[in-house]
Amino acid sequence: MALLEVKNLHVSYGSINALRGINFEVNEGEIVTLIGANGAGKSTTMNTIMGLLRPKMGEILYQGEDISHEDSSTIVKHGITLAPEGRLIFPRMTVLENLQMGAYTVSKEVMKENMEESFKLFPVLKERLSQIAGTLSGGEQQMLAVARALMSKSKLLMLDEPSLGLAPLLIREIFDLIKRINQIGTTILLVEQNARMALNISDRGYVLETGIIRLSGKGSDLAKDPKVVAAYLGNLD
Amino acid sequence: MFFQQLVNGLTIGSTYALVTIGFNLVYGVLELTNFAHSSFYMLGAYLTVFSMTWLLGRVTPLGFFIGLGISIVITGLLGALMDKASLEPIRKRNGAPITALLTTVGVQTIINNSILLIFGTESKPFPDVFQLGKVYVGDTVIQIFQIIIFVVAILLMLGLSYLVYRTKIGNAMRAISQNATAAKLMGINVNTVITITFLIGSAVAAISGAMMGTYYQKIDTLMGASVGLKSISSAVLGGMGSLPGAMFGGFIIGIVETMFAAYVGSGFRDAIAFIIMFVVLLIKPSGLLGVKIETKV
Ligand SMILES: Nc1ncnc2c1ncn2[C@@H]1O[C@H](COP(=O)(O)OP(=O)(O)OP(=O)(O)O)[C@@H](O)[C@H]1O
Ligand SMILES: [Mg+2]
Repeated sequence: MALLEVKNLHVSYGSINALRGINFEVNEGEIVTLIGANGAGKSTTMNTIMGLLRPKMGEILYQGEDISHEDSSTIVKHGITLAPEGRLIFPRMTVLENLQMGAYTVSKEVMKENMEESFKLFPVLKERLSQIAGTLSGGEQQMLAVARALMSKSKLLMLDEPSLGLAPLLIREIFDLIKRINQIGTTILLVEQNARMALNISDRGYVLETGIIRLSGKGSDLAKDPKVVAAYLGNLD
Repeated sequence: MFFQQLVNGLTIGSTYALVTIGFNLVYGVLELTNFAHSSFYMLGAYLTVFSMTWLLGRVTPLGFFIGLGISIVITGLLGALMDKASLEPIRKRNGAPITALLTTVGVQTIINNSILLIFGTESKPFPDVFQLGKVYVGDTVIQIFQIIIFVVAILLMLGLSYLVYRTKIGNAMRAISQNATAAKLMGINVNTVITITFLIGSAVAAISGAMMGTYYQKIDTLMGASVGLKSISSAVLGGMGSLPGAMFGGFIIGIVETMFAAYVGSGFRDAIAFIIMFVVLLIKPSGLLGVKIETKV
């Protein structure tokens, strides 16, 4: 049984049908990437899994149980977290408080443990614990958003464009980090503009096109697929 | 003369502070101006005196405290009900902020008219069960109860600040106020936390109402409206959403208003709050203790 199984998912914003019956699955221990052009429906997919949007039709099975009508707070308790597009940190809280908010659903002891782990992954944050999060640089805020999402030690971590706005060197670091988080035992669903890098670290990938899944396959195969290369990876290098 | 006015001003200011604290608690979380808040203050006073004199028939300190307890519970629950029944549906449909604002005006009207209907238009006596007497400092007369009102205002401000900054539910409130979507992603049950905020804010308003009833020894159906406008001025002056700001704003408006009435004339007394508010908005729009909201995009 897959950890997460999305079946015939339809989501619309009023008359705009953003998802038109998509199917995909994420198995325990995998890194799975969704790629697609702007507006394809990647963020919509993640937000719907998270309970921020309600599907018009279809099922979202997590460990075999339909969670598509549950509240976000319940879904977090099941062990799913999302580092959303656009960071959404708490701007008037300190870095430390932001991380503590990430551990809202876990005990104090677990929080301390997770915090130590976050500092190993993001030493920059440890130096800035008492800084107001809104004054961090864009890249630092992005790291904080990812670190905060790690604080609840979820089973399934969804990252919506975690490398957005980061310098090239940092982007590489973020991808290394995603691999490391995965090796610690977290299953990852990833959305990325850097499709090539994302596919290279992924077990499997899906290509989303205006609300429909067009292609799917092993990450390394998709990265070589001529249709994917032409549409999403470009012909450079 | 001056110190007497200062004492009286601080007492009136404590009234405003007590009401503004609950108002600012809700504003701090939702950025919603809750026009119904002063109605809960009035309701709290009516329910306390009703429980004490008519329900229990005990016009004693014990009767007062039991009546106050009943009033706090009912007023708090009605505050929660207001959110669940009228504001939560708006949030669920992503309604515009103005819709929520107008809803609070609607709730205000419902409560005020219900009080008129049930308790009548004439003012009601509110027995002072404590009879604490007064002390003299030089030629200044201070009623013990004035001191109590002042102390309660400060304690409530400290208590709510503790709640907001040092407890789990307080963290959730602050998270919601800064980014409600992110708060959901942390696993916070946003609607429940907001309802609890209304419950606490209204319960605090009930305490204020009962204190003021005891102080003035009568209550009437206009007490909400007059204090409501002053408390909104206090909130703007001190800083919208700030708990210490609520207290200082209330104190300053109370003192200035009293001084103005004593030394200049009482004709303009009720306008002075708005003049202060107007001037503050021109000089420091975020209020004395308000924070400027900065967000990086
Ligand atoms: N709140 C909204 N109201 C109306 N339409 C929306 C809303 N949010 C998204 N859409 C539309 O739904 C479609 C899918 O949007 P979505 O944000 O899921 O795309 P995406 O794949 O994440 O794109 P990007 O790579 O640019 O982040 C788009 O056509 C978008 O315009
Ligand atoms: Mg997106």
